[in-house]
Amino acid sequence: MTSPAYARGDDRLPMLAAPADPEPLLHRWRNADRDTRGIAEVSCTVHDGGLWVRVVAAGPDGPIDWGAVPAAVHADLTVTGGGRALAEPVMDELRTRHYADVSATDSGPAFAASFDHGFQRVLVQARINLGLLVVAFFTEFLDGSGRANYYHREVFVRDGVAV
Amino acid sequence: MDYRAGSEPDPHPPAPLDLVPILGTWWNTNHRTMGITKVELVVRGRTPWMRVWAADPLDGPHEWGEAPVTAVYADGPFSSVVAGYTATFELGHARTAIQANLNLGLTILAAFTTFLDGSGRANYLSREFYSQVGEWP
Repeated sequence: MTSPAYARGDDRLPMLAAPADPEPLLHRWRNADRDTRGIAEVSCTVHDGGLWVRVVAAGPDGPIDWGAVPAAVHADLTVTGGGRALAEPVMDELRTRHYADVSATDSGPAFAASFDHGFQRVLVQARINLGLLVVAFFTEFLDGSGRANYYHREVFVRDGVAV
Repeated sequence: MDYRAGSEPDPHPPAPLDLVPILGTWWNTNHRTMGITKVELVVRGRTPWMRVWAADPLDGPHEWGEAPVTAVYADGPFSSVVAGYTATFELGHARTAIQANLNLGLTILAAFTTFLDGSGRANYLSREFYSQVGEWP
């Protein structure tokens, strides 16, 4: 095998030696804004060894199910949070008021997916940040309607039960 | 008019996007990055092009060359305010898909790298912040 190639220092990171585990994503995620006119929920599941993502949008006449598409899982180099959303406070003889700076974070891999609705295509990028799923949507209209391609971002909260 | 979200069925056509806010040279706000250090966006003809430079402490800086911006996005379907763009760099051993958005004077670059070289490395996302006022020495 030839030596791997590098396009930047990040390509050398030891954390890339193991594939990203999609498990932290495997939930139904509900929009933190109940009044959103965009995306109401995102669900992540594993089928046939791959990650699948389902999106349900908030339509003017009720929910619009986009269906499920395969998604590419990516290790997220930029995780933050120090595990504050999951880790218990440090305990010793007295209950401490600070939290450990643990290396395990309430984070997970990112994913990228694409929904093709015929008249529009939506690129979806998502990552976990402090227990939230932060999702960016890049919507491209293909129907000549004159609408502008647009970017928007929404934040989703994990349902209690994994799907 | 078809739609897939409640924000989309509005009858007012937008004005053409003004690309100026995404153009120029953008510097990574983190001078210790091991990722993308600088990007430059220019328009040639009607197409915006993106050029990328990256850091590598073991091998020196890498210039990725130039790729066309594949799509530019407004901040809403009836807006002419630019809010993001996408581009893809074919690097031989890997493909990096850039998905960028603007926020508070910064460009935030999400870079999804997929390895194509059979090295077994995990595909990864990096997400960093870029400013036009923080030029590196």
